[in-house]
Amino acid sequence: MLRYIVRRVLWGVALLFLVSAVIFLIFYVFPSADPAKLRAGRQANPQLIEQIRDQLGLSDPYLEQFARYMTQVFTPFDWFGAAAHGGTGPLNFGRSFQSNTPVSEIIYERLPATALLVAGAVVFWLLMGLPVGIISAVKRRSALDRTTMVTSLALISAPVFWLGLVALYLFASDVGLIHVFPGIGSYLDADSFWAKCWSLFLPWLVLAAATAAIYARYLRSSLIDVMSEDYIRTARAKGVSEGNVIMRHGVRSAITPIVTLLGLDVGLLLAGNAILTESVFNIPGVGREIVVAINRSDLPLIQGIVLFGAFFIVTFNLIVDIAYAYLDPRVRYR
Amino acid sequence: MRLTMFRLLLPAVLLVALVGVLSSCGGGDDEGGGEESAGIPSDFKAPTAAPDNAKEGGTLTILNEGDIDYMDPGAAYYQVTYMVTLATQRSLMGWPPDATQPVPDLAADQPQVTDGGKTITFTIRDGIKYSPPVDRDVTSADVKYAIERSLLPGVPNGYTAAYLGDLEGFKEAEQQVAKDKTTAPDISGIETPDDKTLVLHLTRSSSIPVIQALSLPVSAPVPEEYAKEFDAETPSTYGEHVTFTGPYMVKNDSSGELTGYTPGKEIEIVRNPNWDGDATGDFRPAYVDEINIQEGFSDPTSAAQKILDGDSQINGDFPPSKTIVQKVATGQEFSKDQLVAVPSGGNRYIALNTQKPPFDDINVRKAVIASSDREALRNTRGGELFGPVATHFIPPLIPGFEEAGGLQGPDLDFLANPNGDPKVAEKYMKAAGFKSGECEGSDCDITMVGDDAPPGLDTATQFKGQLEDLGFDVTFQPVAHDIMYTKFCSVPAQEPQVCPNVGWVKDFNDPQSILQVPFSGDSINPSNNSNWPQLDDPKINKAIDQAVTITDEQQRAETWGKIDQDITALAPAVPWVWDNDVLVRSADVAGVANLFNGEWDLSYTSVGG
Amino acid sequence: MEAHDFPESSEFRGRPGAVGGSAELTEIDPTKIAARSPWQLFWRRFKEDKLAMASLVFLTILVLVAILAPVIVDVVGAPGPDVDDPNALDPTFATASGPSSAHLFGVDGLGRDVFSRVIYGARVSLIVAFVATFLATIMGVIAGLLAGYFRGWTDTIVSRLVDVLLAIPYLMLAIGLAAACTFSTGEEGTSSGCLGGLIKPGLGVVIFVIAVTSWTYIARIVRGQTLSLREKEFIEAARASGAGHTRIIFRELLPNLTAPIIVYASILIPQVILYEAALSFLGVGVVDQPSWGQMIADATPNFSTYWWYMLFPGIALLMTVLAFNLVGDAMQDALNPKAKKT
Repeated sequence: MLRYIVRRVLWGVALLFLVSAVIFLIFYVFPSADPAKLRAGRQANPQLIEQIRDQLGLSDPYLEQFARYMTQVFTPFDWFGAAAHGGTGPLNFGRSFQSNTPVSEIIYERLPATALLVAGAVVFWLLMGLPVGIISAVKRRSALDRTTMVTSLALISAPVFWLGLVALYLFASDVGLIHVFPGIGSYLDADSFWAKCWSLFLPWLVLAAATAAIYARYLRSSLIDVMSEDYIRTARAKGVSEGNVIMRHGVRSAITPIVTLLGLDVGLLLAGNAILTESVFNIPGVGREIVVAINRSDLPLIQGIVLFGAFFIVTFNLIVDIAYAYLDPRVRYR
Repeated sequence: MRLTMFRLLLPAVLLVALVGVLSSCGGGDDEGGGEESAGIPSDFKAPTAAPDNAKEGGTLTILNEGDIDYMDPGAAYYQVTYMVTLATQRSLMGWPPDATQPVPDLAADQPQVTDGGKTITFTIRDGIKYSPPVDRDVTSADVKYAIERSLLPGVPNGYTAAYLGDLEGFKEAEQQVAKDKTTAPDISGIETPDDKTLVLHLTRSSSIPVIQALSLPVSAPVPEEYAKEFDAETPSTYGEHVTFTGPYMVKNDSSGELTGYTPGKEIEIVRNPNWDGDATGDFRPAYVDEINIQEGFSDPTSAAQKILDGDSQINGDFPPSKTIVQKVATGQEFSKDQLVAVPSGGNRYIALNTQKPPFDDINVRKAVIASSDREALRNTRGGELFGPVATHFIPPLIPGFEEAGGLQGPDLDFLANPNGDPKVAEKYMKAAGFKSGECEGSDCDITMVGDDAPPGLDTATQFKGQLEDLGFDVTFQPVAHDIMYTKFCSVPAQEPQVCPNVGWVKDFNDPQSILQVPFSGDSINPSNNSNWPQLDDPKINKAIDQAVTITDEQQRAETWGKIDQDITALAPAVPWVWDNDVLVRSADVAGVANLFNGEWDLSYTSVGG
Repeated sequence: MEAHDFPESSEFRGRPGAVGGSAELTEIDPTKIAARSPWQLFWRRFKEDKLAMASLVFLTILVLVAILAPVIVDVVGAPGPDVDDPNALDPTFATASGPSSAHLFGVDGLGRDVFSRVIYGARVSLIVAFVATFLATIMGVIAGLLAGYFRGWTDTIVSRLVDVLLAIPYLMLAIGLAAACTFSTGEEGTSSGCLGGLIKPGLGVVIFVIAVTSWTYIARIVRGQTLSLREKEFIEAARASGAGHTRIIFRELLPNLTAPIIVYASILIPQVILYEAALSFLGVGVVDQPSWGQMIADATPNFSTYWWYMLFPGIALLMTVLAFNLVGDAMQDALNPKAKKT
């Protein structure tokens, strides 16, 4: 088991390294704009642009820039001119070209908004999706089952940003038909933690809706599979009540793939897949930041956010893998 | 129908306005009466004077989409940044909200111009102190340093060379700086015989634009002993340690570092304890105690709604969306006076690259202008409140506007109809050799690089359709605003045939600042070009160069007006609006707008009313 | 699409029984009187799902609508999708007007007819859906087959590559790639595109980006299937009779993979449509043609007043994706009737 964990962790680190390489390739080698020019500002003279290009080390060969970046992120050493071009690491993601603020600072500042958004959404989608999935599985083929399945499919089929707009149209307190929930930009206004939560209510519901539907369907099919197993029949024959059969035996087994899915989803969302929800509701999270950064060709910021996101994905994948290996020994010997 | 009725009304309004403007010539005492000549209905005229019962105290919040460009006054070059600099810095000359000519601010009086316009003498006021921690009195040497440091590559100033380049010793100073990038050079033409006197020697009689240029933040004093260490770095870090002379300052700590400025997020502005407006003859009343600029509001509808619904808020760098404007202006939800419009002092046009076929042929350009529905282009930004359809380049309220033809414009057939005239277009296409009246051949495959976000995107899309009607095959590439400039439109080697989202805002109230940089062949620059049509007509270049040195105001207006007409006749671009800045405020804000930068004036606006 | 609803995790773990089970198709009960081909059985099971049949009809109509867009727009009497109607805009405020007799679904901010744009928008969605899915499937099948069949280093490389791609948040990858391909310097303002000019900005870039980020889904499934298939007796038999790799792959493996490939590709299609809508919404999708996602993006600043051009493209998206989802679901059920009891 330990060997398995060590192997997976090492691969995780290697993954992060490879991800950086890919990002570097995309953004440094095919840049969408001249970052030195953008940093220098609109009326910069050529001298200033050259100076900035030097400072940022942009004229060095790509391999050297990449090596320097890796050194700054992962190690505390001064290799490849790290100290001269942005300082040594570790966890030094450089400074934003636009505002000269350290990238790590920007990410830490925006992370709480994304984290709160994801946390709340998770709570909602579990609360909404799991019971629906269980009930549908138990009452399968009933009208209730059919309707919920089609409704959930409809929720999955709607683009999440559109759902957000519709929700705002109906329920936003500033511009909606019925004034219930805070509207766009209310997160920026909110001071206290509870005010922030309240401003995220609609985003939570919207983000949770589609995911709840997915989980409901998944749990349903998983539970149906499990319920046709032999040991369920045995439990029933032993006289266990139907409720207990379903919850203690059925759901317990069926929930495993859900847990793994949850881990992966949270990782993905924290990594920035909440972009769409953040854009519609104007939430200053990590996802929105990267859209802006890409537009401005703010390479360190882009690199930093993606790497951070990859870290979440890899970590959660790792947790899920290890948990799975713990539960199913066959997996370890692949 | 409503449209034609308004059109009939317009000349009547114009007449009234003309009478109003003519009868109150001299500026300074209008209640913003000049605004009528910009076509703004009186309901939405921005107040340019504080009400008599303006309340002191309170906090004003400004909602912004983006950030200011530079905190360093030596580099600031953006109307929204001027909101901050007008309230926190005292330049030699300044702009009260209703002024049409600059007024002495740091200077004690109007400067003395001698030697046929080649020598300008300023006297600095007594008792003006820098904000803590610098705490000392301002001297003339500080203004000299402020101007000289703007030549450093680390202080990216966009206009010193253009407008102050006539100072004696300027060229030598530029060479000095090329050798030593870390020390501000000495411009021999700026003399400081004593602590309170500043004498400027020019190589030619361009005193008028020079004095106007000294109303820009570059002349805000900078203490050399404090700023030197920051200016030694490239880029200069003075922007993180600015010191202030106005009634307000950005919050800082005891070492002078600006703690109140978080780029991209917010700016906290508080009162400057060392400012004494009465003792130093400052025209600014400075009512509010604190000003907070909050950035990141990217949805103009919800942000404007927030301001209108809420308390003590005003908008900064974004106009409210068209739907909000409609709601307020028709009195549906909010009080009509919460919305005002003020001329931005700028124009917007679609640049046609005169150095590339097919637009190197003047007939093709005239045809394109003739076929474009400029009113529809204006409508992509909003309706009439967003500005009159432009017919030439000098905007309303700037001297030379009337001389160039006013709202009607010069007598040119291809600009006569704001909705376009297909017959005239056809005539010019035929004159260009296209017998069918539409473009034919490979030259008709053109590229256009524009904004990827509304309203610029809408304008570009609208224009694309209009070009296609004339037979062009347009490839439209939308990119981020900054990239549009830094990578394509402002780089002559990379510039496509059409740059639809360009325009120019006056630098100061003189027509030179609207026409020189955008249209003189001498200002074409290989890496940061603002003459987007790349117009290089020797006659125009010469006329511009000579007009710079005219010292008689009336003659200047006439000469520059004629230059505007000549430029327009060369059809380098499609002028489509002289835009207005549309401003909104919360109900409890007594907002005052400044005609210089077209934004709310933070030193005159009060809350709690 | 925020959550990741590909049923990947079970595929990836190699959990027996969760992987399609194409074995079902080859082991048909030989005592049945009228021996039907696997395809006929598949179709029979599919037909039982009434909703899916209705969806199929809807999709056929949609394809026809997309192809015949100009005709339909003409018949209804609406102006073309790029025609600005200044009369539809308020004369003083230049704001758009809602549904009226002249414009069934109202106009957008530039005065363009929304009904027209919704009809034409179907083209973009369908083209991207089919082409991008097709490309992703081809890439995925090749990768998955090679990895599953040859194993060893090939498998390691492919699986690792898939891991790396999956570790990058796909929307960010997509936006980044799209930006890189759109803004690379060409001459005078044109973009040189990606892959030596092959991929031009607009539809090309969107399809490329979606294909590159979606092939992993198919690759994993095909790999899993191949892994389990190659152990079966008929493969061993073929090898024993001296068949080379190519023959085995093309004659024995691929035919057995066709059904699951088609099913999973059809599950991929609705994801791709939503993906394209998301990219258009973020501004990196299709710009020069009407696209449903982009129309919603346009509507966002004013959605509370201009509800019509937020609503209609959204409903179009919803119905199209729902229809594909229903069809995909039914296909999956028809493929493994024993694994999923509904």
